[in-house]
Amino acid sequence: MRAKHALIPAAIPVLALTVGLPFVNRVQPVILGLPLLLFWTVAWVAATPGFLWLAYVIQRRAGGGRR
Amino acid sequence: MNTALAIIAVILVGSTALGLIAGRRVPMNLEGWSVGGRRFGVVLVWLLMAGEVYTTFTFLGASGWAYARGAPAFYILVYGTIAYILSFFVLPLLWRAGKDRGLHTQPDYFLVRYGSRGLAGLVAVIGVAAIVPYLQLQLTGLGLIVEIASAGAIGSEAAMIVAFALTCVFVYTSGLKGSAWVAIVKDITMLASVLIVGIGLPHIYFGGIGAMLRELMVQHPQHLAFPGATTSMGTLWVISTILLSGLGFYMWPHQFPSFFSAKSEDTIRRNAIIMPLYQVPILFVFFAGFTALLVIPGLRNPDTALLALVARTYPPWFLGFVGAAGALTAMVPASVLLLAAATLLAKNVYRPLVERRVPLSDTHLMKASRWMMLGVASIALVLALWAPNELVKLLLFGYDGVCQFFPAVVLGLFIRRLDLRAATAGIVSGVVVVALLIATGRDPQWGMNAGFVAFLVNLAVTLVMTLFARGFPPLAVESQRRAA
Repeated sequence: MRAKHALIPAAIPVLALTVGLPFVNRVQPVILGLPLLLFWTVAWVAATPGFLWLAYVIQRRAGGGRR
Repeated sequence: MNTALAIIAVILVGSTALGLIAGRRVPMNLEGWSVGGRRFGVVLVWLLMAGEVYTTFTFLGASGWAYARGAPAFYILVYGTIAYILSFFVLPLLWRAGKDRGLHTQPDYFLVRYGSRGLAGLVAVIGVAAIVPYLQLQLTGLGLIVEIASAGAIGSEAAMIVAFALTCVFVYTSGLKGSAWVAIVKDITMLASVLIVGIGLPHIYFGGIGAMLRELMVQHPQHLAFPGATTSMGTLWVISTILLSGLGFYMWPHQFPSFFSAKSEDTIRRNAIIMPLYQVPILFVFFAGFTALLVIPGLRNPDTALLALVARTYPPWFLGFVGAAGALTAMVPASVLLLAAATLLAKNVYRPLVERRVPLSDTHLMKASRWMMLGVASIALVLALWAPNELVKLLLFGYDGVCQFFPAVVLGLFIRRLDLRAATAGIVSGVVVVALLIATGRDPQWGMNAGFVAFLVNLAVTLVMTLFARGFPPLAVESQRRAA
């Protein structure tokens, strides 16, 4: 794993929250009380720290985190 | 004076006093006033940067959009997250450049990267122009809060003038250090209000959030998917607005001093990891707006939806508490913005123009920047009084401007060939295009946010000009030499 591989986990929420939106622009199904579109956005925002943490670990392993 | 107003007054006066006490220990020169003497701990830096998330825009603007427009408001929940992901990779590089070259402000970066005082001055002027609508937003929000808390006894215009005076006194006396301490009070009262109101209002009227949303889907089936209650804000508009605001987020002039003063690259990365969690409570602001739509539809000004429903539902003392939280979310960001604008004008416009003739002392520069602060605040007040606008629209105007810095700042870190001419041409074309689009009523354009269309033009111009760039810019030359 090289430092630039950290971009991969970071790109996932970015794609989900931009190009993913046309695919979830619906109210149904309702998940945990939230309409699909709102659930999708909140879930990805809340999950982003996990993806960034993964990016952080990859950078650290590659030794690119500190330079 | 009624209970709500009295509580707002007490909390505001108390916070101002806290700011004054905190500001006293910092030496009163331009450096101490504007970057807190460069001795901020990680916690204070984080508070200043996090303070950006919850301003009057989030509190009243986001609930107002959830009320009046529905799903397009969701962009507000998303764009910060895009910005934090970007910042994870970009800010450490900018921080490194800032540390190596001893940079303080955004125009400083342009000065060393592109070696031109003219471009630095231009960037400062555009930055201040973008700050003005952001300030107008905070003053407008404060005006609404006082108007509603006084049940209309104090008109919003008188309230805005009071808000203007309060903010100026606050900044004039305490500077950035004062703002950072008051930001703590602000974030606690704000988060408490958002959670209490966002959970409480749906519960009181519908028995729960789920039940409220079900009722909303029955009464307004279009409200919770794009384009919501609008005709022009479809999915493409939302995506382009998310990108405009996400890319522009760290291009605000007042953000540069915040992250420049961080302890290390690692601090910045770890901040970026946790920041998205801080955004999730915005969801509850939406819930308050949705409940207001069901309970009190047809308000003349949607930005008052949250406060109007709180005033109708809760006892006056609680309206006072929420109003005070709202007032702080306006005053703290307003003072940070004013400080940034005044510092930019004094350091990067006034000094280079005057210094050629007379050498400037620190006290002179300090005095000058205080006058500039009054000037900028007055312009924002005049606009708030005579050119009122929606809170969210005002912030988007600001983003239309600052996003145009993105190619020159960020690509400038990676592409050595990107020179002064390419950077200048990109920024100027972006600003001109967005100004023309807005002035001719073409926002949105091709279904996209006009600011984002301008950004694409800017990006294309910058890249094409880079292909034809001749020499290497000063910073690249230097790091090349150092590497050799």
